[in-house]
Amino acid sequence: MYAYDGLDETLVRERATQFRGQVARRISGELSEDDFKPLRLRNGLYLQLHAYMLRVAIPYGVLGSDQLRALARIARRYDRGYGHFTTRQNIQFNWIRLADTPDILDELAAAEMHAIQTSGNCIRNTTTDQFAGVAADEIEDPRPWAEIIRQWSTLHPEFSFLPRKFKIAISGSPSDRTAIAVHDIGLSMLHGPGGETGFKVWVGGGLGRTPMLAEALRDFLPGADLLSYLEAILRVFNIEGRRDNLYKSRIKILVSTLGIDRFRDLVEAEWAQIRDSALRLDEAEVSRIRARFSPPAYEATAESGQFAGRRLEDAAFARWSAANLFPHKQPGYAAVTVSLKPVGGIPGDMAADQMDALAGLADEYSHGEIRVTHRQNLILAHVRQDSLYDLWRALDSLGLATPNLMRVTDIIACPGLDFCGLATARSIPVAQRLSERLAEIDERHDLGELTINISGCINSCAHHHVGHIGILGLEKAGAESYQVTLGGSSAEDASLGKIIGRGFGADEIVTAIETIIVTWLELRQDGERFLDSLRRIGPAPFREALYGRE
Amino acid sequence: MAHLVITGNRLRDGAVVWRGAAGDWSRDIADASIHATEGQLAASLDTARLEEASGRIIGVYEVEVETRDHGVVPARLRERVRADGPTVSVV
Repeated sequence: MYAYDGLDETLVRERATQFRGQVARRISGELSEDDFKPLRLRNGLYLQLHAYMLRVAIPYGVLGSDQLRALARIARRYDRGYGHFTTRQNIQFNWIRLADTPDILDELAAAEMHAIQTSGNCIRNTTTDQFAGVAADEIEDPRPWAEIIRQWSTLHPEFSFLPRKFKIAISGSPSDRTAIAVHDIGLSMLHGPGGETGFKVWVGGGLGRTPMLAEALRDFLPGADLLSYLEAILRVFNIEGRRDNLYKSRIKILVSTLGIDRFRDLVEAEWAQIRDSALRLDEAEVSRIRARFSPPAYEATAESGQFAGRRLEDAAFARWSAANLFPHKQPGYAAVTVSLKPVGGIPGDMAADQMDALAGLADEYSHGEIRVTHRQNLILAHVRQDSLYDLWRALDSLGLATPNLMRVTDIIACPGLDFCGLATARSIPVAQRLSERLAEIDERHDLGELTINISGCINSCAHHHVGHIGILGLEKAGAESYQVTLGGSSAEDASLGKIIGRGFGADEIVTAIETIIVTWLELRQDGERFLDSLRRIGPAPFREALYGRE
Repeated sequence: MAHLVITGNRLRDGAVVWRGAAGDWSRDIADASIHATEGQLAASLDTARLEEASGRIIGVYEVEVETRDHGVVPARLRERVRADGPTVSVV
């Protein structure tokens, strides 16, 4: 994994010192809230319903075990003993005191971490595939490119005051596990005409109140041109993007308004001026960064017979193995998803004690590395197959072995009205009740891949538009109302869910989702996925089951 | 006019606070001063915003409340969650 160099260390420490002074001036009254708010947001500090919330960056979702221990210490010392992993591969602490934040930033800096650009109208954390570097279907490891973008975009003076926030995702595999279609820019790695690797560039995806799938901007971009091309896109957005209306300021609105062809013309014209500038990446620099992501020292080991035997002996282990393991390109190894979705639990929450224990397991079994997924789970990416049984038992004892990756209880949920100042309805209690109700149905019927995403407001932090079943919580006539969408996907077959009908009250929504699933089971063919059944038969049977023949 | 109380968040820790009759800020909504007329509310809000400018409290605004058997309760769920804390138990 990448390690800070001297420049990173200096920058992060200076920023923490700078913020200490800003906090002191705010508390003394020297700075007004109007003056201070943009400064705290630039350091990831929001004011939520009950307290300040600090969002800590986890670049491309990769953490060292000591960094996870540092997060555990912060959770214990400055919060209420837990943290919340987000759909942007970051972590949030919900109960932070303003006066403590300088000390927290110092502790983060000591662990080579920070909260820079986790808020504000700037380029946010670039996200990528949680299986980067280990996926058997990978064209190239996308993490060095994500790191190159991190270095380029960190405190980029030209892009610190964009019309709106800006999110980039990179996938190194044809199977999209990064939701590139719903990002401002999506980069999909592929081979070019001469066999060299580069990117297909997508632009203008996003969710929120105007959900849109990204459009193809360029079919092939050589790696050397990545930064100059990104800079050209950002420049067009910076100049042409709307600043007069918060709801029309994302790049998706600009692309939609101009049309992709006109937008492309503007980008190409800008790019022509800067393509051969200092932004061109020379191979030596790319190689230098790539070397920081060299694979760990894998041991030569064959496919484990012990692993196969344990699966035969222990049904619970077999079930977890089937759900939570991902094929590794190194023979004899597997990538493990550590579920943060216990049935009835809060999606993405993790206790400090669990963080410490997982850091120990990462050291013991996975070369000291942990990754965060955009589905709010964690990954141990380099586990020997013959260690899987011991690891599973350890995870199980920590409550971290729920066998539910991409299944109906692997629910993505935002903090919702229980914590978030923007939310219009609660999402966590709905997720908890749904997972309790649906776990048993999944156990009985083996529902397979079926994703549920619950957002507590139209800002769509839980990506409800791209859940196979999406739930949007709103406030209607003073009560919570939950609107259901069906048919979303954030994978390579990306689609936006469509509203099935009128919303449901808080006491109706769980039964409504159960009705959808029970209806589907009667129509399902040959073990197909819910999404495939829906695409085959359409929404009518579900609408009739929910509302009758209205 | 609906019955209204004045709320904000404490600068140092972001905690939810409610403004009392003596101009004090309490963590407990039961201590909040209830305003039944626009004149009362305007006067209190003016004072509260001066206190906001001094920096101890941030984000001052008024909240509609109802008086029930067990005390004062905000009319909107958002404010009930602010008053009572999250409706879920954390890990």
